[in-house]
Amino acid sequence: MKIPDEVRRDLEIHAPRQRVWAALTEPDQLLRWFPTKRAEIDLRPGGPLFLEWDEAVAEAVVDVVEPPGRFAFRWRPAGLGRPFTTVSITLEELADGASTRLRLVESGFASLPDQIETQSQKGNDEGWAHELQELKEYLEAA
Amino acid sequence: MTPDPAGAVFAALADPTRRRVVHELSKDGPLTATELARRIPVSRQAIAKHFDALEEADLATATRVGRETRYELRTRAFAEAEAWMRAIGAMWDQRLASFKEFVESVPSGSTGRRKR
Repeated sequence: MKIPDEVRRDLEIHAPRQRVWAALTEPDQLLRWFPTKRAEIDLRPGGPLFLEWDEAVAEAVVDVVEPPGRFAFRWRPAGLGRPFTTVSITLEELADGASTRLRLVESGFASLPDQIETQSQKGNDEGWAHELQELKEYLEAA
Repeated sequence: MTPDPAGAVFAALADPTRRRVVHELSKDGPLTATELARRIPVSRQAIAKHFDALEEADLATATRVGRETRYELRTRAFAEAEAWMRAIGAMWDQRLASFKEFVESVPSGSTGRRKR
């Protein structure tokens, strides 16, 4: 028995791929749907991504930027010690060109215990309870 | 002790040795104390003690088989982690629904400003 590693979502959007890409990656558009009160993104591999709600913040590091088809980031919801899941989004143009298929995969859940262990070996152990509490608050706030 | 079952589970996992035990059991369990002690650099007695903590949090069970005790994870505890993931999935459903609505509601010509 294992913790499943990923959460997957798949949906079809009736808009051209370029339009979907822009809504996904431009901060002023991100603010309109995510929805956060503050969104900053440095759109290059290694660039920071920052989202802020009333009760929580999420910090991420951009991993992949391949316009207009692939965007991925690693994030640490609610200021957890380090990025621990990767969110990867692919956009595929559908035959008519007017629609786009969006695939989202958030992965890395299975290695969560290991990551926290690594962190604790660095003398930075705030423990599972704390990590879970942070995530819980983040989930409930968003 | 706490009304939050997920909190109880993760509190029991606050100890690195116990997390190691859980990790080994999730990989290759069930395992005996001897097998666990071979993988984790602590004594069989220490393993048994850590195991008691896991058992109290309802994370694992011990079964006597002949002269050995076999340790095994319980599914319910991991159901907590799965519930966590379901919550994350539900959140993406929400976000993606508003994303779709937003993208489809704005005409393609007005995608907004581009960054320099």
